[in-house]
Amino acid sequence: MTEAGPLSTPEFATFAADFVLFCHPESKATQAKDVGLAKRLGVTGLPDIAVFTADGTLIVKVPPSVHSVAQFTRYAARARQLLAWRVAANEGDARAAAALLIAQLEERQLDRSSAESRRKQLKNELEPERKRIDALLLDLRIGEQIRAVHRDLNGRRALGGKFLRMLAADQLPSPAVSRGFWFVIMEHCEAKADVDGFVIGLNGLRRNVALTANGAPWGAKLIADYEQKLAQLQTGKK
Amino acid sequence: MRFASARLVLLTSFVSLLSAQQPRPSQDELLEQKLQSPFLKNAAWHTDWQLARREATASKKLIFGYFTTVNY
Repeated sequence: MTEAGPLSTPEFATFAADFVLFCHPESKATQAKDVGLAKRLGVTGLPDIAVFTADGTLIVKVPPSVHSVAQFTRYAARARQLLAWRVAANEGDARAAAALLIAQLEERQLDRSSAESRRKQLKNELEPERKRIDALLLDLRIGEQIRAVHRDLNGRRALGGKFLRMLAADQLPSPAVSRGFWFVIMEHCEAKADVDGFVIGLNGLRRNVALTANGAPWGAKLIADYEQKLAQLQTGKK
Repeated sequence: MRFASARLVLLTSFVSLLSAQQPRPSQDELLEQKLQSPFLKNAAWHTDWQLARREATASKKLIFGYFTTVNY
């Protein structure tokens, strides 16, 4: 647990010297201050940790994985980098503007329409920037499409087929694309008994889990479940 | 012997019933407990957003915000 863990360590007390610390316990108590503050500040899950400027702008959220002071330190550096890019972008630095847009997309701070309108304002995108922004915008579109068919099995399978064709056409999302992307591809391939396509989906899921699970048991279990499905598909059993 | 066992069962049930009927802590009590958490004494935490912002402005520091619930 974060409170009895990293927040209670001497390392945290040292880390904290560079910050103003703010703790907000949401409650329905009669003496509760600022009810709903977390949501107003853009913090949706509780408990959650985020870094803000003094004017209350959320700069970066610390992912709700297993917290550690080392992780806080990395995200604090990330927050400072984002702020530096913001300042430079406001002064007309095109590279900083592109770096800021990429970082905000990586942090999932932008919806698709605002990201696309910000992109239009970028000047002279460099090739690596263009590729990265394309992939991150594709992630956003993929997320929207998956949400639209969330409860519809046939819709998910059809979308999985579309995603597989997209990959074949070399339209690649970023490595951090929603896991749902790989799930619907495998759902489609399972229905079509397409072993090769299923392997593509499973390999994508493996990369995603390696990035996001941090060695947590759920990651290994998820991969094992899909490996079992692959084995069933390979032997023709359903 | 059987009588003693029956008495023990009765006593255990009575104690369970009593503990089940103890009122859950109110939200005010839970908030009070949360604000007394040991981790809040490990460093200088603010629980007032406006005060935190004022201090961040004055010290030119960023705000490290921890958002939780009284039930966590």
